[in-house]
Amino acid sequence: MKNEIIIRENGILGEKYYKIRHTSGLDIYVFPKKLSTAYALFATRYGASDNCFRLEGDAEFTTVPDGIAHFLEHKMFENEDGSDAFNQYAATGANANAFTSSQTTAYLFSCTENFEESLGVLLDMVTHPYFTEKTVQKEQGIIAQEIRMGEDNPSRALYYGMIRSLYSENHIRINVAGTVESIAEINAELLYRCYEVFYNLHNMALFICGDVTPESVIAVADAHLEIAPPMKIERRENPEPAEIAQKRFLRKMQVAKPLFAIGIKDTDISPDPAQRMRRQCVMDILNEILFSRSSSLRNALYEEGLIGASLSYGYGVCDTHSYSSISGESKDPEEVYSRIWAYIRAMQESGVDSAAFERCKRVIYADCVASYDDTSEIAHALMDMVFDDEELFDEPEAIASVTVEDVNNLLRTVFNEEKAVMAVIAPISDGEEENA
Amino acid sequence: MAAQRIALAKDVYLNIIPCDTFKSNYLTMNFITPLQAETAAQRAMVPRVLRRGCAAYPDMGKLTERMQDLYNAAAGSPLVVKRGEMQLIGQSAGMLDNSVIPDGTDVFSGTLELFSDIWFAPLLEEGAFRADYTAGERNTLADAIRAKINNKNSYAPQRCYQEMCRGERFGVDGSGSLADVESTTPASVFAAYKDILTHMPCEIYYVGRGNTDKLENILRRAFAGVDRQDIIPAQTEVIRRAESVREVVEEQPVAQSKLSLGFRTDTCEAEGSRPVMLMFNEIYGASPLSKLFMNVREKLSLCYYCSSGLEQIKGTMMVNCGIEAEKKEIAQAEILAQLDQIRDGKISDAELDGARKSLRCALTQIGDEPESMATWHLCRRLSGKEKLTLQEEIEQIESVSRDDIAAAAQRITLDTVYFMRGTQNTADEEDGDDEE
Repeated sequence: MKNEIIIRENGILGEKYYKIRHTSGLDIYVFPKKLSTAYALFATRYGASDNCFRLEGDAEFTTVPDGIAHFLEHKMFENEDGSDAFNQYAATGANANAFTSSQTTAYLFSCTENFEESLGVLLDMVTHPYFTEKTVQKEQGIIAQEIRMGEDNPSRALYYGMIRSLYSENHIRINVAGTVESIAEINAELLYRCYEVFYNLHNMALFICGDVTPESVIAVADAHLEIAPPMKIERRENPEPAEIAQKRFLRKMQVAKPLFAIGIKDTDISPDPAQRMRRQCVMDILNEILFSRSSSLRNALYEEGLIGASLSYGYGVCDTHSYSSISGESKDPEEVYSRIWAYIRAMQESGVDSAAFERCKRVIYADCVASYDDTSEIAHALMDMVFDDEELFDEPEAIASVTVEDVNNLLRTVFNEEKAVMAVIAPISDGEEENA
Repeated sequence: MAAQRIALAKDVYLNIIPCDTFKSNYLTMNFITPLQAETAAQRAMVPRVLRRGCAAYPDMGKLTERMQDLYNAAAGSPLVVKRGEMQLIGQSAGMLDNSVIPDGTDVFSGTLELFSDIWFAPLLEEGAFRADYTAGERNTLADAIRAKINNKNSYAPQRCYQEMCRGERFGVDGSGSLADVESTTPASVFAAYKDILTHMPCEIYYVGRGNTDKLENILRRAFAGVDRQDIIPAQTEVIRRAESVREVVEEQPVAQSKLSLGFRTDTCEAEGSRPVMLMFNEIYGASPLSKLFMNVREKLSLCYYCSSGLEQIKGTMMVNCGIEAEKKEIAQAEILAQLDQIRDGKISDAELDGARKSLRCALTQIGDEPESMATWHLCRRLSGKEKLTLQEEIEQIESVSRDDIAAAAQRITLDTVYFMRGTQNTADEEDGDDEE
């Protein structure tokens, strides 16, 4: 068997990358970039959402406790001889880390020397699990503190409040770290089961960006990876209704001023990845028109003291869910909510201003181009695109192809108040305990 | 990466770091002012009020439209940074390089003009800043100060430094106190602006490519209208040792308790101790290989994070962790025991080698980010080490020995123990029926 290599290039960006289908079954992406820092990301299509699954041919589905993907991520750093991967990276001089999200677990390092040695460490640690009941117990204490820290984080509470108002079934509702109770149910056997299913190289991909060649990466992969058997994972999840779960979420925490997050559920998700990418570009431009500092609504709300200096907004789409969000700080979130919808309704009537459209299109184009200055940003963008079956280099053209009609169309369809929710984290009043 | 240094006016310098690696360029202007309670709030307001609008673009909407036309250039981004007992006040601008602009728009010149307009041709009424803009920014800044409690991970160290340095200028918050912010007026902020322009040393850094003669000319013209005189140098008082340990305990309705230990290091960067202190910090608590991580977290499972950080202009260090309230004593004992290990020279070859490599990697990576490059150069200048190059600093780190590190650790004294005791002991709420 031979490695298949495909080269992708983009003349506008002046960039190119290689896609290698490695004989082991792993897809490897190498993006050469003449910077001192090389960045590697070894990721699996496995996150907090994947709590009910089976392999093709299995009789039964396995259901696992919340937080297990993240727990597994922590445990992958431990080696059989009692050492951990951080020690090995220390010897090669790389800076290592890992993260887990709803749909992905990824292990990474950045380095300025000894790239191939560090890559070897990365491939070995992720392909060699080792846990015992004792090491699992030790980790429970550490992760319990990570969860406790998260409980005190108002932004996190706001995010989950919004997500759980938008979705009643979708597994994006699941807290990535789990709960102190759910992680207590995790044991070595369950960890091995999840590992065997989701850490098959066919379910994973490796992303590299830096001053490296595809040949050097392939040589390391040849030396460290064994051929993985083909497999097919089935994930089970109840279907998500088109409707939102609830219109409002309120929780009291120790914050200075109420925080709000408005979410708008988008259910028109195309099965075609190219269409999803295009929708993303249209929504990015539209959100910029509606909520950037050039928007009359944003400036009016700010001048009236209804919102603070920062207002976050964004849209995301993948094959399982999609929503737009606006979040910030306000003394009166309900007033902000009404004003935003009044503004949107008026603009749905009039359509967006064409000069504003042209300006905001420049902003989105500039964001795209500027993201190619950093090896970690490039590797992460590649991962996001590949895991959603999109082509990274289609983005500049997709942005360029957006018309004012596209923007007006999504303004009139996605911004549907029936699909809108708002989460609020309000301050605890004097003499009041946090509601449990 | 040697910087070219050009005098633009009395104690105003433009430092150009030529660099053609990136698709973006970066410009930052830093007035170096003495941090003091009487002026901190007024000064912190200056860049914020200036960014509301200038004579040419009189409101946030117009100003933002201009920046969007310039492909999302970010001129006028407020810069308020505390370094030692200095309060840096100014602005920064990021811009795409003209070479990646598809339609010939001169982003470089446009951004520089805007940079100059925002700070040197402000919008005035009756010889002061506009009353409504000042009031708006006053409320925003006051809200930002109140909101510091939202993030407990950063709030605890801040409280620790406030307590530890309560009689020193370092105890003043980088944006001043809430009461001082609330008493600012259009006239007082304008007076602070004039005072900064007239009397404070200014260091400007440009990292990137483009016509640097034009850059110089635009900035020279901007300062030509300023009567620079009686330049005020900013200095930092180093308190070398703690005489006794002060304990501060506060209760907060949070799940996780926070422990912060403030130390005096008996040295500062101006004395040439940066290399040894960086090595000490790396081994003590700045990496996943450090003694604090390996022992307080990994061995004792007491926390998710436990790390140390230095303030090398002021000569202080802080250790921060998040723990269960009843584990405070055991965590504190272990943190101090690990410091004793270093004092006794108990540093393995692997720790020493790992720390060197990790720092070499971190310092080399600075060259991959324009903003980091500007910051690194500015910081060395603030300690009178402006002749040092990054390469020389990397070499200095190579020559730090185990004995040097042990000797540095022996000079460190514990000053203040700040403990935020969490009073909310219910287990996880994130996953419960906390939705109202």
